[in-house]
Amino acid sequence: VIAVGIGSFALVLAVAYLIGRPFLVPEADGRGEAQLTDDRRRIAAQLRDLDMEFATEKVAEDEYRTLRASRVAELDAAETALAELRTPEREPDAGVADPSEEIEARIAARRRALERSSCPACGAEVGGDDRFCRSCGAELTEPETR
Amino acid sequence: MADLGSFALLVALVASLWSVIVGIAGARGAGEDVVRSAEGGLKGAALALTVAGLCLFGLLLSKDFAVEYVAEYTSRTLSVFYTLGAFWAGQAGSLLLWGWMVALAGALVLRQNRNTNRELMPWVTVVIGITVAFFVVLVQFYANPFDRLSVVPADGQGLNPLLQNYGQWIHPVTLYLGFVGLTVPFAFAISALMTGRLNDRWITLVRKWTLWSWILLTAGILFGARWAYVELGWGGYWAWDPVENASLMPWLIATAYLHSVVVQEKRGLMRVWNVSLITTAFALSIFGTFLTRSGIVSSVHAFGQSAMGPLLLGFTGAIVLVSTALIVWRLPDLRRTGRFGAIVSRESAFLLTNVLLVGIAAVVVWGSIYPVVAQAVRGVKASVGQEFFQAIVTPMAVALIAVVAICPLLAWRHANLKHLRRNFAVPLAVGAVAFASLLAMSRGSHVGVALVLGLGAFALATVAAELRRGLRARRVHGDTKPRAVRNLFALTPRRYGGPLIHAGVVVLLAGIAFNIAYKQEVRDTLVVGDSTKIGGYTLTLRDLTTEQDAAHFAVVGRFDVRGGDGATIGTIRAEQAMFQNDQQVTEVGIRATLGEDLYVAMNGFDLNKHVANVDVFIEPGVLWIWVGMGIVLVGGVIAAWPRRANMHAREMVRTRPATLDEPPARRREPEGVSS
Repeated sequence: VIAVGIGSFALVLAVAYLIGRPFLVPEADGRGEAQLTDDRRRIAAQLRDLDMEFATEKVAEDEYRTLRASRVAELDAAETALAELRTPEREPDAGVADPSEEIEARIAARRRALERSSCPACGAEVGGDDRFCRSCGAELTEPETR
Repeated sequence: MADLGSFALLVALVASLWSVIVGIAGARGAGEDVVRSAEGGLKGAALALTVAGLCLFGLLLSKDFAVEYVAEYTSRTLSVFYTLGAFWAGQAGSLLLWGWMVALAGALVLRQNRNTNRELMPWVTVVIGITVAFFVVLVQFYANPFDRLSVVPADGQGLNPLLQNYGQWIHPVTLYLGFVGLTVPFAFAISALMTGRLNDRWITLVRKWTLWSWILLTAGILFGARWAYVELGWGGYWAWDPVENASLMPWLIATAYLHSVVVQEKRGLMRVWNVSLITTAFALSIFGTFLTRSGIVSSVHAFGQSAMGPLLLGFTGAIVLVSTALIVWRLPDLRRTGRFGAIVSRESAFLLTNVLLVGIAAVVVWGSIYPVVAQAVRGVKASVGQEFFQAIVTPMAVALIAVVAICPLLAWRHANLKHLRRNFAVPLAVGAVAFASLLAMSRGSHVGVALVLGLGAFALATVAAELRRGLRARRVHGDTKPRAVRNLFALTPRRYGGPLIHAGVVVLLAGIAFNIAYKQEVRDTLVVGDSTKIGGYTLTLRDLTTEQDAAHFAVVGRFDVRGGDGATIGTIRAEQAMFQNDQQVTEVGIRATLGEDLYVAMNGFDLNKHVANVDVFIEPGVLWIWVGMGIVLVGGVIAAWPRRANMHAREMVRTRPATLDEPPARRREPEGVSS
């Protein structure tokens, strides 16, 4: 009887915690980034699938070009948004932001997004100056991703 | 423990109702914390049902016969393996399992989407919450596994011996999980309709869920077929029994959905159709439960008469009504789509696939409910036999093989005739040669089988060509041969898992066609030393012996098998076992070869006169049904396997060639080597 009582009490407590927690502890907001990362992954997969369809003659060339261009635009939009989100915000008391400085920051962010490169052989992330992949040892003469 | 289980059910009910009521408030804009609390309710229900489930496992293991469910389905002598498997042997336990798994699926969905797709989550929580609450109500008020007996029996009644097969751990569980999995796409579809976010995002989100449900349903159905084949002693694997049909209906619709959804992804078409299919699949899974559990149809599977029939039928009706109303409401938004392609195009082929699959589903639904309808409307007992189903389904299944053969080679919008001619030449030739040689081998009898196998060869050749073309496309990316194979499945799993599934289905259907055409049966009564002949085999009853242990008493017949040349090629052991409560089970003996199974069932005996009644079957092609099943499951798992996070980096590499805005040129293929 005591064991059942304790068990029941613990269960009620746990469920009450699950239900009540959102009202007590505000959720950390990681939403924007998670959604964008998810979008980027989804669009990238669609792009690759589209390339495969073209390579195996499932889609006509003119249509492929149109579809690809729109997917690439979507991917760029998602990546730009991600890069912006990841750029640390300036201190609010830094005074009026220099507009050219802001543009410079955006360009830098965009470049970072584009330059994050991966090994063409195994896909592991590689540094900009690496000559060989740290994961598989492939020579990185011509970076595929730029 | 039973008290804790009962209490946990109550908590689960309250928590799931919370997730529904608070979730509706959240969906109507009450704020993120309210939505999160509703999600907490669903997670709470999952936790409570986990406690309830573990309590039932505990009660079964401790053989607490004071609990009615334990007394009814286990006994002291039952092994631990089957004692745990008794969880879902009866009405109450299987419904608890269902509700439990729906709640866990809900918790998993919430976990996956804790930071993404937040606008869809309130209604997803509500729909899953309603489903969980519904099952908890069934368990709590109609079939409670924690009910106690007033008098505690000394021993339980034991598990039905037919269920004492390893299949008890595979067939029911995979089927239930498949049904459960269908709840998630349904919830997302309803949420998309409610919120008006009808773009293709929800389709992508539920892709894996639908695929896994489909794989589990497939595994459930086929393992069930295999179980029936080895355990029931009637030499068959599918009887068009209403309950078998109940699992087939949502499977067919889910299959149709998996195909038509591709058309939506690629071309933005068939959106009304897709939403309708996924709601239908879910509704049929509940309707199937109604057929199985209301006691209105008779079947090997059916649970006893129960009062929950109206509730299940009402729930099915509510699903259909609400979904239809929502789809009609959103028709203007759903219809905003492009144009359909030419008659010979990939989308047309997908449409044809859909028409065939839905057509078969309609036949199966009608055949299953006709006896009930006839009874209700005209008061006559009617039955729909295998002939009805076979006569209508066979041509449609053959047509499906033809579509499987043709569709993968077609292009979207309009097929390029030159490509078509080039791509079809080899597969078509393979099919034609197979058809002609089979026809010649059977000297013109069995045109049907030759046609099925010819089409099957055509389809397999198409699959091979498709894989070959994919590999070649990967080689263009600079992959080495082994890496191309790996990447083909790792980087485009759905595109190339699909053809494997097709190959498996073709092998399976070919096995069935072969089996139906060339099956032979002999019934005989043999005295020890007597022989019977069938299909080139001679079977001699060598002896009849008995075996006994604590749980059962068995009569074992041993048969010497001789081939056409008179040489002994093996022995077969067939058994008739008697368990407690006089339950009898036939353990068949099977000698399986690539071409055919020799299948011996001993259905009666007289130990004093040394006589046995035997049913002997030649079952051609049966092995291929199981081989096909294996290929389907491997292909399915490849297509649905969750990919590791670091795959995404590779994904980026592969989709981002040197200059992103310049698509790679299609490789010019040298003449003569094109597939």
